[in-house]
Amino acid sequence: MSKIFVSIASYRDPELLPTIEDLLSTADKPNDLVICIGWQHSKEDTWDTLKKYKKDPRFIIIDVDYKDAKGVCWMRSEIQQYYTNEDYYFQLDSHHRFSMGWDTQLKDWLNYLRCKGSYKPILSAYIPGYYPEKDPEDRVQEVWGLNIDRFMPAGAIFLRPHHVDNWQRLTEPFKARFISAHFIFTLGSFVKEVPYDPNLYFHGEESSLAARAYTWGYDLYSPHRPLVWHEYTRDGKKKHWDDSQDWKEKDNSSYARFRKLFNMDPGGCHPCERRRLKPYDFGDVRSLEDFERYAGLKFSTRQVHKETIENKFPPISGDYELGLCSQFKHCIDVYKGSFTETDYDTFAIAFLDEEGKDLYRQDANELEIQGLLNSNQDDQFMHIWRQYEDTRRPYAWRVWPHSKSKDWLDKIEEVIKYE
Amino acid sequence: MNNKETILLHLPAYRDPELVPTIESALQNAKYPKRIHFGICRQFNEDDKFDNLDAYRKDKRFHIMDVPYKEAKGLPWARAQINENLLTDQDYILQLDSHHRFEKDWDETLIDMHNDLEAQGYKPILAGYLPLYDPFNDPQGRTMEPWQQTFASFYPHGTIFIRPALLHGWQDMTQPPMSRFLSGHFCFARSEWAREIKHDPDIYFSGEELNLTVRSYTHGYDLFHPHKLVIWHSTMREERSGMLKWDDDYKLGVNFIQKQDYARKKIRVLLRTEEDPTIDLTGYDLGTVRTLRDFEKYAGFHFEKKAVQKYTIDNHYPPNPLIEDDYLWEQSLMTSFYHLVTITKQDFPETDYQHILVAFDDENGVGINQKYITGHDLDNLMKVGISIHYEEMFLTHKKPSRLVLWAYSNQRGWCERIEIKID
Repeated sequence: MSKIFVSIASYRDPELLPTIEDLLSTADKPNDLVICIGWQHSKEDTWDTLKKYKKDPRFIIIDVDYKDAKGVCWMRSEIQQYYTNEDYYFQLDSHHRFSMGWDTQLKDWLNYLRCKGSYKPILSAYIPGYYPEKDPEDRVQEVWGLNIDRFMPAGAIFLRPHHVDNWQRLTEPFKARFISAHFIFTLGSFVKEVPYDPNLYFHGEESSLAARAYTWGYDLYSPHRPLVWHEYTRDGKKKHWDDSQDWKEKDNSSYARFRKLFNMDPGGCHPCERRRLKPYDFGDVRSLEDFERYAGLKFSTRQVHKETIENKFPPISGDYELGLCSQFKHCIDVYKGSFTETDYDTFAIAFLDEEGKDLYRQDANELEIQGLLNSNQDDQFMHIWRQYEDTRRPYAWRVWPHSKSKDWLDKIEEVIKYE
Repeated sequence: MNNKETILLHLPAYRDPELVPTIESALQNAKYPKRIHFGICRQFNEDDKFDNLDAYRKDKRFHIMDVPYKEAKGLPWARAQINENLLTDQDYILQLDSHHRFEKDWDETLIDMHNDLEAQGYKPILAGYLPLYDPFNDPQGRTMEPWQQTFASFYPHGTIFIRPALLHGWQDMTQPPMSRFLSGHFCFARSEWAREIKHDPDIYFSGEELNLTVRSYTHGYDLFHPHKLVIWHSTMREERSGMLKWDDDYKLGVNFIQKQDYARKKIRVLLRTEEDPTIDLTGYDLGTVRTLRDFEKYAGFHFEKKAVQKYTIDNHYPPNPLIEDDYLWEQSLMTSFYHLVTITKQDFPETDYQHILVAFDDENGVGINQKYITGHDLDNLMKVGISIHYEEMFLTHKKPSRLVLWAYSNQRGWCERIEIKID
């Protein structure tokens, strides 16, 4: 008998009950599951009552009033306190659908990797999506890889999924660079060796978990077949940052913690600060540099390797140093209300150094401006993406609109926050 | 430890000067010597004198069967005689050879280990390759660490080359780790095991351990290595050179090769890698509690494909992580390749070779494995004329189809080249 500890962090989620139902009804061995639910709920909500499971010995329910919730990393860390040496650890969100026999399949894949010589494998991915209203018809039958999109100004890594071509031809799980928090299947030892850091808030959770796991000797893989689905477009559903007053503050301290872990602040991380990171620090089986060379990126210089950008499976096969690229990618968020004219023909968009000199400039033409102004009517901000190759980090950005009738208008400038 | 439980020491002895010292060491070091019984199949030559057991013959604990050495029919046969004729109502059986030394209170240690495992729901057999003692320098010459049995490779005839290795991590163990094999020279179990898993007299030395292993496992027994030092073993081969069973067989004109071929065939039939209706396994077949595939998945072998998992090669203790799906399980295996390499002087007539390449290539001539013969071995071949023989073993996903021996001379560069086809 091999037990699976299932971690489900739920926040006022109407999909929680359907997810549990589906988890149990599709498992080959539902009695070998230990399901721990971080139940962050409001008494006013009617949809996520767990009455049915309260006396079920397979369930551990952590009852948290949503006003007391402290973020998903905190919740997942709390859940891990209830782990009692089950053979496997399975971390999910609270909105999923499952294939028949998902438990046997995941164990088989993991044990396949172990039998072939990877003794601490992790299966994790941005798994494909489903739509609660049109399920199972609209389940996405694809396999996605997980890659870095960019270093955010405050240092954390922003991840993105990418299509895996010809995944049907893959015969086994493929090597991955990162971990996705909404789908992790691995050995139970992971909970003891790489415990969740409750001090992280949201961004940085997944990349730091991947790097920490790697340094503890875990090998990162993604499933080569769609097996479990995740709901991505959670329109109108409550998220913690909708209810929480201080999420921005939490996110900032979370960023600081991330930079400390990865030595990204000038002067590095002082040994005594490093000690304070325990037990959420790196392991000693491999070094952070081993991870950087494996995944193809470099934290201190915020560089990303060419092969990584091209979504090639890790590890990096070519030269590591030569392949590193210094990409700067940033999203300029501007309040739409600032634009009252009707005849804009150019936005001069630039990134500036501290003296106000242009480091990079790429203007928006009439077509792009139309697109920006008319994008998502519910969003009061327009989001202007720019990306370029440079090792210098800009101090600020500038958007300078030009109208046909009124010529150059007021400049909009903002200092970029790196902390 | 239960107060009255008895152990039968199963000792097949073939003209062994160590038999009497072994009996003495067992009795002197037992916590409860009165509960130690001896089942001895003494295959003797009257001229030897050293294995005289007259001092024990009136002792009720001793059950002795004397067989003139010319009537001996091999080790499994001798073991079968003990289990069928000398094993009576003892609770446990300790199957050994006849050349051993014992740790103090070895009886209590083994029974406690066994019963702890039984209390956890196992049906245990404690077994393994015992560490060595030196009959002429004891106890100083004892190996002071326990061993395990590891997979080295498949032999071409289908059995497994089993090798001893240190029981890694034993200092930190709180109970015996599971094992992939039983050993012929050391098994400790409830005596029911000896009644249920009979020794097949046809298995003439070759593959005895693999035979016992798969039959015991499929009958529902669980295999363990002791994690403590309990008993030592000596091969005694050199000391008894000229008095061993096969030496006598040779002198008596017994066709050893023919017997061995039959034994190997019978094992292949047992392992379901060969079909032969003329071979009858009745009484010596697999059990029905577990399947052969269960064993293969447990240990990480595929008998038919002669394939093995990396997990097994890296000596991780079993059970190997379970892959339920057979197709995926087969995909996880690597082929274990074995070849006896022979290099003789007549193929390499020159005197100035720098090295000889030994390469295994696939059918397209792409190298799979290679090494160079240099230095001392090369000198021996060239100057003294001593042929080179060694067992090459490696894991591969590709099938080697030829062996290339290629000499490199200082003056002529790559010169003599020999290709040998491999089936």
